[in-house]
Amino acid sequence: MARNFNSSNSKSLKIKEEIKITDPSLALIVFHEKKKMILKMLLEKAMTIQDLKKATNLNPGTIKRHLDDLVKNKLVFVAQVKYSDYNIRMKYYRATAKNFIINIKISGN
Amino acid sequence: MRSRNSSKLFTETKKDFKNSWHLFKENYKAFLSTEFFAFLSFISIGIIMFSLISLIYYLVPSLSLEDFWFNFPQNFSISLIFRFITIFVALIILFAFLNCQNGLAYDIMSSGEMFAEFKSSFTYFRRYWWQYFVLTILILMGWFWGMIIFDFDHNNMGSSQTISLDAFQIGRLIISFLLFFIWFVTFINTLPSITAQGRLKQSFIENFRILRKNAKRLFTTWGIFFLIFIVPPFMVSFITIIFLPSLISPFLILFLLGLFVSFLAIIGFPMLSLIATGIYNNAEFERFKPFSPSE
Repeated sequence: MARNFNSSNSKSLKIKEEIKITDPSLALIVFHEKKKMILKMLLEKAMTIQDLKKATNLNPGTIKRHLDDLVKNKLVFVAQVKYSDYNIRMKYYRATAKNFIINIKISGN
Repeated sequence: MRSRNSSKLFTETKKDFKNSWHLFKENYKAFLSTEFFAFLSFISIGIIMFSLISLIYYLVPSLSLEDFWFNFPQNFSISLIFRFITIFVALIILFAFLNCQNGLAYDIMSSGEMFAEFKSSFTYFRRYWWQYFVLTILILMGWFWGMIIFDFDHNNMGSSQTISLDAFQIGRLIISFLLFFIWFVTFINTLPSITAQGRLKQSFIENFRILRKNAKRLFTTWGIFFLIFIVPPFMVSFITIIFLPSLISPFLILFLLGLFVSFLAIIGFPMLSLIATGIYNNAEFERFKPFSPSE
């Protein structure tokens, strides 16, 4: 029987309908091929690193580093912590919004 | 009631092995890299020490190579100090690094990410190198207690063409092995405990709390572990001592020993860390606060 715990982050971070990205450095993160792939998957449902590994065929270490970047920039958060029936701790990651809209204005002056 | 209890016990033991095996298969690269690095470092220390001898030999012409290794009675202090330093440094590296596998097991089971990376071994080595060394020496001491208590006579081993051990000595050897098993089970949970909460004294307290409340499970799980990984190389050595190499092909002995020891090193050590951490995580007992890097 798996036990569920909400992460302390999840209380403060609710999943928003959409987030507008106006910071070019954040846009660069979102456009990074692997991060984009991970973020896309986390838009739909919460996943563990092992789930993401199966879905993307990426190395779990690589996924962890991309997730850390996404978490640091508040694009992803730890939505839930569950324990398997063997008491193995499992962190579930989820995107902070259902849609990300990139809106960057480049002006002459 | 009794059969229900024993079936629950075997279910827990089965779970320990099944989950550990599954997690080992998923993370074998991190475990094997750590082991490879530990053995490589052990050998490297030997090579470095040998280079040092050569350098000292070159710089101090009055010394000869024999002063270090062979003329033990004549150059007692030089030889003894050098041997102690070499063995001590090499064993610290070997034991500490091998036990960093407990850290990898902790990463897999308790960090929430469910995977381990080789580079984490260095973090655990930096954090717990001397505690891992002390605990390994303590656990291995179990073998020597049996030998000391029963005053095992090494001079009788492998001396002639005849059978070298009588039934009484064989009995002593078996009892020594059983004492080692009991000693091992008594202290093995200090390793996952130190990894989880970081203090040596508290790891002993947690170890005995686990032992008191889960003795049956510990003896069943580690009993099966011993049967799979420790008993085969012990049996080969045992049979060799009884029947002597002259009666069995030395190549067969070397082949079997190599096979069983490799099996123990490649699969046994990682499984030991995973099973110990699994039991630590699942056992019901009063725990100390987990280690946090900011402490």
